[in-house]
Amino acid sequence: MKTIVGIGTPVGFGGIGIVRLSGAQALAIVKKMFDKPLQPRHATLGNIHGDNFTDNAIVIYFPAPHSFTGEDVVEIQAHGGWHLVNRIMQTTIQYGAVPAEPGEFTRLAVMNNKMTLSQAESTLDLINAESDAELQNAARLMAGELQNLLSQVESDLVAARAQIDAYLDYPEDLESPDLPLNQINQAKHTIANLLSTAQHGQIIKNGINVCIIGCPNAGKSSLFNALVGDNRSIVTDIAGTTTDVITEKITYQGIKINLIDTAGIRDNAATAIEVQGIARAKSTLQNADILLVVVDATTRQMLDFPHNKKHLIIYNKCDLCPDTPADGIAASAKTGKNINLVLSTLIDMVTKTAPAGNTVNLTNERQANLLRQAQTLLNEINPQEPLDKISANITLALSYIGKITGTDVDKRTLDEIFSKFCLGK
Amino acid sequence: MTKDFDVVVVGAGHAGCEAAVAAARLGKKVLLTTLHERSIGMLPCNPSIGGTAKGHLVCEIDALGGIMGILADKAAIQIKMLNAAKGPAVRSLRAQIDKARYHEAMVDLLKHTPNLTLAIGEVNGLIWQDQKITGVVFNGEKINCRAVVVATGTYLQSKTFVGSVVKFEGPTGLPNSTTLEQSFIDMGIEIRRFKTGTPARVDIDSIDYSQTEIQNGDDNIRAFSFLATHPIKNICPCYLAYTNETTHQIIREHIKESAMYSGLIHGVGPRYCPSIEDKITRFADRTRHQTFLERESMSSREIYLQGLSSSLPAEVQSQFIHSIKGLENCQIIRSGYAIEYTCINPLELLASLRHKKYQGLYCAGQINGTSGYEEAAAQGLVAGINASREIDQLPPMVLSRTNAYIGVLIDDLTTEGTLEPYRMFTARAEYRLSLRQDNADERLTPIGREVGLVDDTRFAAFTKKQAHLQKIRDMVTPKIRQEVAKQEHTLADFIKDEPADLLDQITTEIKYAGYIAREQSAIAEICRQEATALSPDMNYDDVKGLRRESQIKLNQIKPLSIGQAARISGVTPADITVLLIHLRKQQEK
Repeated sequence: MKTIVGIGTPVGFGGIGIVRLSGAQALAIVKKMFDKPLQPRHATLGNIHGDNFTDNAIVIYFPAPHSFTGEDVVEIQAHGGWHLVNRIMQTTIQYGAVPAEPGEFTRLAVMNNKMTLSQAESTLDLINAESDAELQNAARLMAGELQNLLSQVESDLVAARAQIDAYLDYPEDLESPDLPLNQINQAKHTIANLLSTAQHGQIIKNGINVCIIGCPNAGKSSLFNALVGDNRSIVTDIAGTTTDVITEKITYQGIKINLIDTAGIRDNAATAIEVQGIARAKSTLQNADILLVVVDATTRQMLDFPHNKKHLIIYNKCDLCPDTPADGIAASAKTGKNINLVLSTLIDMVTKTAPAGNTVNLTNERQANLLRQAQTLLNEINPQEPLDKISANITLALSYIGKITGTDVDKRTLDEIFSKFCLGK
Repeated sequence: MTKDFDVVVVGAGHAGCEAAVAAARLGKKVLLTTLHERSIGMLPCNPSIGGTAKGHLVCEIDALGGIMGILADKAAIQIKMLNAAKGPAVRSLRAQIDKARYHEAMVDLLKHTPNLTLAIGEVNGLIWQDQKITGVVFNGEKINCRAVVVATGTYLQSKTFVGSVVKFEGPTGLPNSTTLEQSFIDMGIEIRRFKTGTPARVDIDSIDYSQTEIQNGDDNIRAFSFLATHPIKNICPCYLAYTNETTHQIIREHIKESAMYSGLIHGVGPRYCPSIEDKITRFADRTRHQTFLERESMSSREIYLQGLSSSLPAEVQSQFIHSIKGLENCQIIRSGYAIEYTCINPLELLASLRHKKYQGLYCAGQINGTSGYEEAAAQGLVAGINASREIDQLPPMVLSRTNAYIGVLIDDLTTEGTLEPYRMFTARAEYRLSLRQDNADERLTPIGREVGLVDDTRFAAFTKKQAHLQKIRDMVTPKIRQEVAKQEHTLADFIKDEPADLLDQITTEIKYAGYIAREQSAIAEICRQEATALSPDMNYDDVKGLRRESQIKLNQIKPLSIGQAARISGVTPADITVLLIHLRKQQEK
């Protein structure tokens, strides 16, 4: 039985992000990534870690049947950054969880009688809405280039499977075929290209996370306000206390930018609350796509920051000091000079480094994961193995792609067999 | 003859005989009717049973306690394991069958089956009251019964075509059914026309075999039946010949005279079993097509020309056959023909093969839009069992896609329907690595036992084999497992003096462990969905929140489980959740 995983909170910069797993393997999967033992229905604070991250999280284990879905459920409550929540989800998938289909948690809850009638009825619209949103999103995506590319993958794999299965179902009518490695490799190539855009697509979808850092008095907050300016999104959420991070979502040239002001970074924190704020700011910094390093042009005092991260240096207060180094942009929060240049540079830094030659981006983790599973199956194919195994790999890969495109590939395979091969008594 | 029966089975072909024997063995008083003595257990087309996916069906029929496997073993004159080297999932037995012996063995079995009455004549109509079958009219007389299995094959209102010669008759010139179709029309059951065809037969001594390639059977491979103790002896080979450009030229010149191309035939034919005129038209670039020369019976002179089915005029058939190397001087005993017959839309049936609107009305075989002896027999067995169970007020036996090819067959028919004669393929089974011939008994004999068709002898043999398998499995250490999986050694290198077929089966379990586990986890998910039953009486217009498209589809198909509902094209996961909530509401009321 599969164990499903989903993000239980809206994607974005909420205070907390919840990753929820349901299924027999839920506990086993989380144990592999959490450093504290878990007691049923107890909130446990500890470290959650994956390939390239470690973070504080509260984890709660609800054993079956006393859980939301009626199965074993584990909830991971982490900091709300999209990157972090996404990486936690990725890690659970790596350990065997499957991304939930729209409405699947609710469906389980209903199937296992975990909902009262009124609850069930009230979730009905929600499930339809989720599903509709998914469908609309899929329809929009499918209208364009993604549709073409995935259809191409499907056609290649259907042709490959038809060639093998025609021979398996009509062994005496056909000569032994060469293994259709060309089609398989072509499909693998297209999938790999699509997947290389997945991360990029996610950024486009959820917004570029830009974290403003700098020494005290470099002008972070004034630059923050200047950047927000007229670009403020309609929805503004300011999370936490004054010592916490402040986020503004802005839209520039049609691309979302999540601007994060880490006002409170300093080493000698005064209060316990401030210590927490600084800790959170540091984790935010880790998860940012781009660091906007603000330097006072007059003092040129540089804050120490992780240079391996993508960053853009801004020499603020250029109105006071026109001569600035060439490794950054001279700007002025006060006069507004080059503020738009900063924004367009941020966007270029993400879009211009996108994988070349692709006009399509996978923006959906579910789709990306389905493609990754298809890729694994195709990579597994060994020409030395019997044909029934090879066909099984292609068929399952096709079924994953069919979950994105909605095509019934079984029927297509038989059509292909009958149209291409001359068979029968 | 008494006028009161529990079950009347219309037609004594492969579906009808399985249905009649199953119901009789389950203690029902059965009347089995046939239009002609010769039609009983007849193979009107190719002289073989089994083949890809069809071999699986025969093994499954046998595992459930049906008769086709045992009879095929008795009448086999050559046997092959197709796909032997292409993986255990797709290995399929195929036997050349002595048609006369098969027919005799069937007649003998029917005569010795208690509770079964065999009668020759025509069922002229069905009798029903309040949506429930109460009897049939047989040879103009009323017979009372509680269930009917209609297995009319290609005999219902059938027509044969040879060129422009059209005859209102059944296969091989046998009488057809002329009156029963009206009952279906009166009952409001949708009828349609399908078409199939068969090639010419030629005289055995008029072939120049030196111009052909001999095709021998395989030695020492298993038989169809799990009860068989000896491998089948190969006593007669087949031969292979080829068409050539001259053959194709003749057919092209006369193509307009073919009944299929002149517009005489309205029925839909199968794409996977094209006539030779179809092959030449659709695959114009092929310079030759093969034809297997197959013996019809050791007691007959007829040779079947596999691959050359045709509805061209007799003289054109003669001309193109004589253009084939080895057949230049052959004597044609009878011409090929096309046959068109009435069938129903299988979407009107439940997965039990009972009609959705009529209690006691079951349909099996070609009337449901399938083709093939094996597909027919499989449905006959299910229909016979379920007709009996309905009378006993027991829930129907419904096999799933996850445990049988028979389940795939019936689920495809009753969930998707078919627009052409339906043939089974291994490609149709999504869990084909799990649904193998060698484990058909493991999958189905316990079900057959529960139903009551598996007798003590079969069950004892089954239990013994399972224990033996387990004993060998227990001997497989992790080290052996690893070496076998890596193909460095065979299981026989480690485990001596055990039967080869059992070692084969366990070797498959080892080499395919990862694949089988993957299928099993998908199967577990499906089973969970199928455990939630839906009533065939449900009106989906009453389900709040379902999309209109889904309501229409669900009302048409009336799925028996959430699992089946989920397989209907156009029904979304959100619809399924809505359905589940609706069910829960019903429960709380």
